[in-house]
Amino acid sequence: MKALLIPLCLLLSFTTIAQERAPRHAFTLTTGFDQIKEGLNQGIVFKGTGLAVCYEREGYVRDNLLDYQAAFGFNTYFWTDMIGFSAELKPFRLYFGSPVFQGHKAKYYFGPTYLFDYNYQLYPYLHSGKGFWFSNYSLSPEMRAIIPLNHNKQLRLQISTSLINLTSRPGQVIEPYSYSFKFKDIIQDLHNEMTLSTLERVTQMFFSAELLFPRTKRDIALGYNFEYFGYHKKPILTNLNQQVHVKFYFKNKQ
Amino acid sequence: MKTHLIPLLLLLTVLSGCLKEDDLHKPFASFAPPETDDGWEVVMPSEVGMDSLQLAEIFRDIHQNKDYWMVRSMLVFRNGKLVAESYTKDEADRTNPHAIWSCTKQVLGILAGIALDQDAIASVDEPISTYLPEETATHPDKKSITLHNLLRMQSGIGWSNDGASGQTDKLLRQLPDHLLDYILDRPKSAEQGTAYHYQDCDPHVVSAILQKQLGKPTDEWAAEVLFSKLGIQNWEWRRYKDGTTLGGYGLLMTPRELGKIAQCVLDKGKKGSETIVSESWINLMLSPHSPNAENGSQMGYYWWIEPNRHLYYMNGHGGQYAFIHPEKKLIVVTMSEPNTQDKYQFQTEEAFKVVDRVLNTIQ
Repeated sequence: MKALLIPLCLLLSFTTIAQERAPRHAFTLTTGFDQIKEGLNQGIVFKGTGLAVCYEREGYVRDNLLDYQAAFGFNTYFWTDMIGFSAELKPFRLYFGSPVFQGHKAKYYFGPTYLFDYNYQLYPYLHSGKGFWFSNYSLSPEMRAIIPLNHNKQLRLQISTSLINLTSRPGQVIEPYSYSFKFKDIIQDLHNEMTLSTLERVTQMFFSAELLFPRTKRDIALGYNFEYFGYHKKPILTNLNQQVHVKFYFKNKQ
Repeated sequence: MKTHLIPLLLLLTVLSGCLKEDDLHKPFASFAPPETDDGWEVVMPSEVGMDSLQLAEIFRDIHQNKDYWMVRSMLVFRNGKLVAESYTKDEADRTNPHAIWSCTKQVLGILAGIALDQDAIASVDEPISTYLPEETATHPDKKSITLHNLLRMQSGIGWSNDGASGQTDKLLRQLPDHLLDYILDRPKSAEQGTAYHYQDCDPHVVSAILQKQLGKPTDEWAAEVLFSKLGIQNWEWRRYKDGTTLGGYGLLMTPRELGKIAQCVLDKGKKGSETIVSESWINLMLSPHSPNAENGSQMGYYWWIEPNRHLYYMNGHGGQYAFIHPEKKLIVVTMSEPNTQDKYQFQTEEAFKVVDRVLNTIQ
C-alpha cells in the first residue's frame, strides 16, 4: 500500500503548492469492442460493447503536464446468446509527466500515472446473480507525446504499462446456496485482501492515439484506445478493449 | 496525416485480435472408473451386458457436443455396480461435494419414510399442527395442512420459486429471520390438497417438522440413519440462519454418493441385507400422487416419475439428475454447473435423450 500512497501523497502535495497554469477541462465519450475472459466463467470469453464517460482536467505545473481523469463506464457482453454486464468506475487517474525530449515542435513527457479502478461483473445466467468485484490500484510509467500537425491540429499519443498494483480479486465462488444483492454486502468486498502485485500477477497496458481538431468555440478530439488488463493468477481475468472516443473541451484556452 | 493514422489503427486492431476461449470440456479419454474405497464395485460394461463402443460414443458426445457445455459429469451404474464415469471439466468433481439443489427434496422424501418407520412421525395424514402446535397457533389457516399435502407439493401455501423475485430469492439471500415463520406467514393460494404447485416451501416445512420431532437438525439425523449406512461420506447440508436444515435444496454431494441414494431406492430401501427404509414407503414414495406434475412427468413424494420411459428420477436445478430404470437395474447420474439459469441448464428433455441412448447400450 505504501508503495503507491507515498509517491501519490508527495505528488499531490507538490501540485497543490506549485502554481498550475492554463488548466483545460474536457468531457469524453468512449465506446468500442470489449472482451472479457473471467476465470470464474470457465474461460468463456464474453464479447460486447459499452459506453464510458470521462471527465478530464489537464494543466501544466511549470513545464510539467498534470492530467486528472475520472471515468465511469457500463458494458454489455454476450457469449452465444447469454448476456453479461460489467460496470467500471475509475474515480482517480492522475498523470504527472515531465518533458523529456523536445523535437521539431513536438513535446514528449514521461512520468507516473496513478489509477484507482473498480470493476463489477454480473452474469445472471451463470452464477445465480452473484457479482464479482475487482479492485485495482496501479502505478504505471507513462509516455505522452504531443505532435503538432498542419492547420493547428495535434496528434496526441499516450502509452503506459503498470509496474506495481494493489489488487483485490474475489476467489472461487464456493457458496451456491446463498447470495446477496445488498449494497453494503457488495461494497464491503471492495478492498478485501488487497495484494501487492507486480507484472507476474497483473499486467495493465494502455495505448491511446488522438487527433485534436482546433475549433473556434470548442476544440474536439477523436481517438483510438487499446486497453489490456490481465490478472494471471487463478482465477485468471483478462480484459481487452479496443475503443474509439470523442473528446469535447469545455472551452478553448485563452 | 489521416492516411498514416488509419492504417496504424487497423494494424493495431489486427495485432491485438481476440481473446482465445478455453475449452469448456476436456477431450474424452476413457469412461473406465478407477477403483476407490468408496464402496462401489467397478465392472466392465460387458460384465453387466452393456455395449462398450456405444457407451464410449455417448461419453464422447458429452465431452464434445457444445450443447452439453454445462455438464460436469456422467456416471452409469448397472446391477449395483459402477460401469462408467467421466468428469468433463475437473477430476476433483469425483470427491468434491457439489450442489444438487432440488435433489435434496428426494433425499428428504426418503428421510420422511425413515421417520415414519421409526415412529417419529405418526402418520402422513396427521395435520402439521400436531407436530408444530406453537408455530401454527398464529397461522390457523395452515393448521390442517398434512404431511401428505406437503410431500406431494399440494400445501396451498402461496409461494414462488423464482430465484430473482420470488420467496425462494428471499431465502437464498437469508433475508427473513425465521424460515418456518416466513413460510407459514404466507397467504394461501389454494385449499390444501387441491392443486399441485412445485415449490420449495413445502419441503422446508417437512424438514422443520423432522427437526422438531427428532430433536436435532435434519442433516445430523440424516447422517445417522441414511448417509452413514449407505457409506456416503462426501456431503454437506446447509442450514438456514435460524438453524433449520434446508429441505427444498441445500445438500451437496458427489455424483458417486448420489448414485448410492438412487441405488438404495432401486433396491427398495435396502443396502445389502440391511433395511434403511421400508419397502412399503419406497412404493408409496414412487406412486404418482400428483399425476400431471410437469412436462409429462408425475410426482410421488418428491420423486419424479416418467411413466413412458419407466423412469424414477431425482432432479435438481442446473441439471443434477439421478435416473433409475428399475426393470433394467440401471442408474444414470449427471451433474452440471449448479448456478446456471433458464435455458442454460442441462434440460430434463436433453437428459432423457442421453438416458435413452444409455438404455440402448444394454444388449
